[in-house]
Amino acid sequence: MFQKVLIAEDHGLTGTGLEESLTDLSIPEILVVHYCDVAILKIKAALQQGTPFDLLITDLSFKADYKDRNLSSGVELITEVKRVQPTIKIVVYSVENRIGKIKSLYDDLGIDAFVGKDRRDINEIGQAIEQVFEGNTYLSESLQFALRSSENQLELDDYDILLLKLLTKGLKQEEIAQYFQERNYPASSLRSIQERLGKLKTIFGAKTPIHLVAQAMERGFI
Amino acid sequence: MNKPSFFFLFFIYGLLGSQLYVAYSQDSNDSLRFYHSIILKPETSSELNSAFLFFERGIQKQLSKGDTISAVQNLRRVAIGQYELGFLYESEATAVQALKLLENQKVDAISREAKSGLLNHLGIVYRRLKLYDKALTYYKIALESAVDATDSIPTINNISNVYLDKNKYELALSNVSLVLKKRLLQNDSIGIARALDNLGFVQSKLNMSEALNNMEYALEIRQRNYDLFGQYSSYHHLSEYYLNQGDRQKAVEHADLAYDIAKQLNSASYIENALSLLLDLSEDPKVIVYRKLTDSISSAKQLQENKYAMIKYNVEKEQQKVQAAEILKEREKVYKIIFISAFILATMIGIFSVYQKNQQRKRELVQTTQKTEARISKRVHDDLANDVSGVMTFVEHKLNIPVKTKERLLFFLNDIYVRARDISVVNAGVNVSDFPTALKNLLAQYHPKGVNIVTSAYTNINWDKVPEHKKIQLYKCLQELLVNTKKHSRATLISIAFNEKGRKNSIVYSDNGIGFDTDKILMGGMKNVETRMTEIGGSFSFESNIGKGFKGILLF
Repeated sequence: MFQKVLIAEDHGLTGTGLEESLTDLSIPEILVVHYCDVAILKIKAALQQGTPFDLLITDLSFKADYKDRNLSSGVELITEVKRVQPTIKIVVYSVENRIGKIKSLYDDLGIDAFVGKDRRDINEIGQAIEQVFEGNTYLSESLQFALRSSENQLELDDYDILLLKLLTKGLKQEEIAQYFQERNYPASSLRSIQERLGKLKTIFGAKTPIHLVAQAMERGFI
Repeated sequence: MNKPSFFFLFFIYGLLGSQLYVAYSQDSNDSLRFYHSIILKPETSSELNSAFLFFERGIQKQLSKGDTISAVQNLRRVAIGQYELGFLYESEATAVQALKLLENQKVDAISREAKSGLLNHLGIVYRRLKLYDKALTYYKIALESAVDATDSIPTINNISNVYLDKNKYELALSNVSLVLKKRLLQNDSIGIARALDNLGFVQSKLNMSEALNNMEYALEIRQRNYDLFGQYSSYHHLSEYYLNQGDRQKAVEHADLAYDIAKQLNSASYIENALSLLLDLSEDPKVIVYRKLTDSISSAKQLQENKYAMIKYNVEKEQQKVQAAEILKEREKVYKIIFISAFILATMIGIFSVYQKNQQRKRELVQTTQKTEARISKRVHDDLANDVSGVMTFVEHKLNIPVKTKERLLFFLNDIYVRARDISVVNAGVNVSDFPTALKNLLAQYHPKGVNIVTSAYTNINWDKVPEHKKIQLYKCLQELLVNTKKHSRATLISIAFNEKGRKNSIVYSDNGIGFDTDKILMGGMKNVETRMTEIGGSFSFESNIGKGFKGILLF
């Protein structure tokens, strides 16, 4: 298990709660800090002393108070830490739940896990840390679905629209295939056209080509 | 019969010419001198033409340079040339043009001399047109402008000529006497001889006894001075005198003498004049008939020419007037167009700037709202959601209460947490620099399980042309619609179509859910969407029926 963990969290109750969860995981050395600037100092110091931290658990938002800050957000802290100590593992623990933001934490900052602060996610923190320790990237269940969604969104291309338009003109599938072939469009075989049509029918929940065209028109696609 | 006018003319221009020449000898260069003499004593018509051209070009140049007085002098030369060619009306117009130029000129010796000369010239023109009264009027004004005797003598002489024409010999006499007086003061023998000769001639008309004496005395002076032109005049006058006296033989003698002088002068016009005089004296009835006939023919011809010139000149004047009126009309039209376009432009700029300002204000309003929303959201997010989360952790680990109670408490706390978090998510600032990606993430955020999401190509709309505050607003509208679908619809399909139609864009959002009765459901969310769309100058319309799904159109 991780031997030395730094927690950056400005909220007292959350910090201690986290600390207790980690103790349960029998991590010997746990340090809780309330400021990003302190966090980066500790990481640098530990690195110099030859006893670097294995893991950083950080919030994203830190409230401003009377102190001047160099680093004022979790994102800034992560960026700086990655620069100083690229091998350190990072778990983000936050109320954030906008998929775009979270996705960018993984993609752009290279974090290892994101855990939400709602009750369901809190209980996943131990699981997340174990996964990260084993060298995996951890995603909470709810996030997994959301992140997959972007792949489940279907963006119709020009050929789909053209196909639908040709259907409105009363062309048969064979004629559409011929139309595509004459213009050297990709996937112009009858089979490809049929597949494409089948896919569209499924998406729009249409039973027949006529139903499909009606649906597409109704929804403003053609 | 206007025989006397013939030789008076010579000295009129002789004098005027020298006057003009003296006045402007300072700008004398060779070509000016050359053309100047051509105008005053033209030998051929082609010479005269080139002289015209020379002076007209000069006039243009001088006028554009603002050298008015030089232009006036050249106009005088042109007027004289036109007179010589018989273009009397053109000559008149040229002189009038020069006089007009002089009006704006400061009065000095040069401009006064020019004015006097021009007025005198007009008198000459009118006399030739037989408008005697008009001629007299102009001579008299010329006299008023005259600077000295050099100016006034020719004019007074001209006046006496007109009186002679009108057979008013007494008036002619007083003027001729005045000239003589002035000549005597000048002590110029040729001038004195000329004045004496004229005086004698007028006296002869009045049958005064001194007439012959004066004329003969004049001839004597002229012979002494070898003044051939003068001698010609004298013989001519004397011939006429003798004819009047009934002494035909002497009259013929003097006419022969005049002819001799004319031959010596080797001047066609003098010779012609002398021969004409001899013809007048002939007793051959055929010659007399011929004379009468040519006289009446020539005077008829002159009359005809005058009439034609008058008509032609009037036509030209009319044409010029019409042209001027047309130019004026055209100019007015141009001014009108310019004025109207300027007015339209100003109005358009005005409307546009008001519109711009309005848009600017609207945009600022929307931006302020968006900023405020983001700020509040951050507060809710940073403070409230975090605090509730902290409390939840505390309750979980530190609070020793019955498990059932703890569970209930945590459930409520989580509910508060989720709601606080969602407020912040809904109102948070949005990064719309990559709008399609922002929208894709938004869809992922609200993607209910088991629901298909289908969109047309995001690039159907050129997002670069949509300003940022509008994109944020559209983002929030779609968010509202997605929340609505997720919460209430039980839909299995969400579709979003992006369309660009001319300058208008539209987003058609629809789901295939259970729909709702638009009359019965309180539609806070729909109201929000409508407000947001109105704020960016767009519109929102939607339709839904129970069992028929939902369809909303965002136009912007």
